[in-house]
Amino acid sequence: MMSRIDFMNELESLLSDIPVEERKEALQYYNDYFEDAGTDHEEEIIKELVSPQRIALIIKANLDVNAADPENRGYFTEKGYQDTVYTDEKFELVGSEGQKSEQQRNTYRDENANSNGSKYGQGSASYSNQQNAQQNTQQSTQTKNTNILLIILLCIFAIPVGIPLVFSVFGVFIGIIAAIFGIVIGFGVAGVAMIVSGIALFIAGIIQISVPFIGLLLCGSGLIVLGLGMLFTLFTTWICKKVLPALVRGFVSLCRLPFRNRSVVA
Amino acid sequence: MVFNTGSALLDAIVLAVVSKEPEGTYGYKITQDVREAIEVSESTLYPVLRRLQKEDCLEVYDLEFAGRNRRYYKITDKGMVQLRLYYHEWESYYKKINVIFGGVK
Repeated sequence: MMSRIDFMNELESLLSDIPVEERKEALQYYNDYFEDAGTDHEEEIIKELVSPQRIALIIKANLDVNAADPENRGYFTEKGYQDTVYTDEKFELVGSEGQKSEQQRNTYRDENANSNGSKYGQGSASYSNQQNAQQNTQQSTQTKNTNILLIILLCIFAIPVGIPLVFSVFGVFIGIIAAIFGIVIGFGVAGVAMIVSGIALFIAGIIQISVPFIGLLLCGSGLIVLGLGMLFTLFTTWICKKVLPALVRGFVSLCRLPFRNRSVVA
Repeated sequence: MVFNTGSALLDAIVLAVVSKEPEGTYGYKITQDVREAIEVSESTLYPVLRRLQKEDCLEVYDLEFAGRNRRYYKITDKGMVQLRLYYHEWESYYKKINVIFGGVK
């Protein structure tokens, strides 16, 4: 185990390439630290600081940050925005999880050793939030674009199935409409025919009135047929007035449905 | 602790710890006091203190103690303004989180 004196000497020589003032500040801090902690804690502190190399790297990394424009703090990697040196420092656990944090520290040290110090930046919290937000927006736009692409592809692949499907649905609709019209027209024609034949029967009955039995039978059945014909006609006109317009309106709005959606999107 | 401490919260904690000593306090004690609340390593605080000093949130002076000069940190007016700002942010933050946690036990 390195002694405090060795530790400080090595730290001093490692910091020989930074401004005198910065070196003095840092050395004063760590000297004070050892003094105030007392000799009892010396070993413990050295163990926790890990190595003079690591401390020197942290100090230098933060120097570069301080020199930099605050707006340019932080940098992007393949993992997204990095909030700096503090990923090393602050998230590090101490104490109870000694073994684990020792490992973590070693990885961090390797990272530090492998990177050029000037790459390190430090982000103020608000700045990093901004950056993350920007990234998120970018990402969501990207996802949207991919979605549109997927939908277009789906449409292309759906054509062989979709076009026959659309035509058959359309055909079924036309069939239903035609059937309804047929029934209505049938009712109407039947109504008119019954009125006409009812009147004819009644007149025939009056002509045959000399034979009261046949004449009255013809008149009576003529009136019954006339009444039924009137009912049929009334029913037909009611359908034409109320039900057909509703049906037509329903059909039209059904046809408009896909277009209405599109116009809302646009 | 399972929750990460962001750099703004660490700044706020350090400023608060220093502000508790009107006459100023020193590195080792600051580290111990911060450790009352969050787990930080011995090497965490120097860069933070140095930066806060450069941003004029802290001022430093040396005072003789036990035959040597000890470096003391004291909060500045600018540091107090910053600390209050952090405090209000923190207050609204923890209240919202507490509302969401409400009923969890």
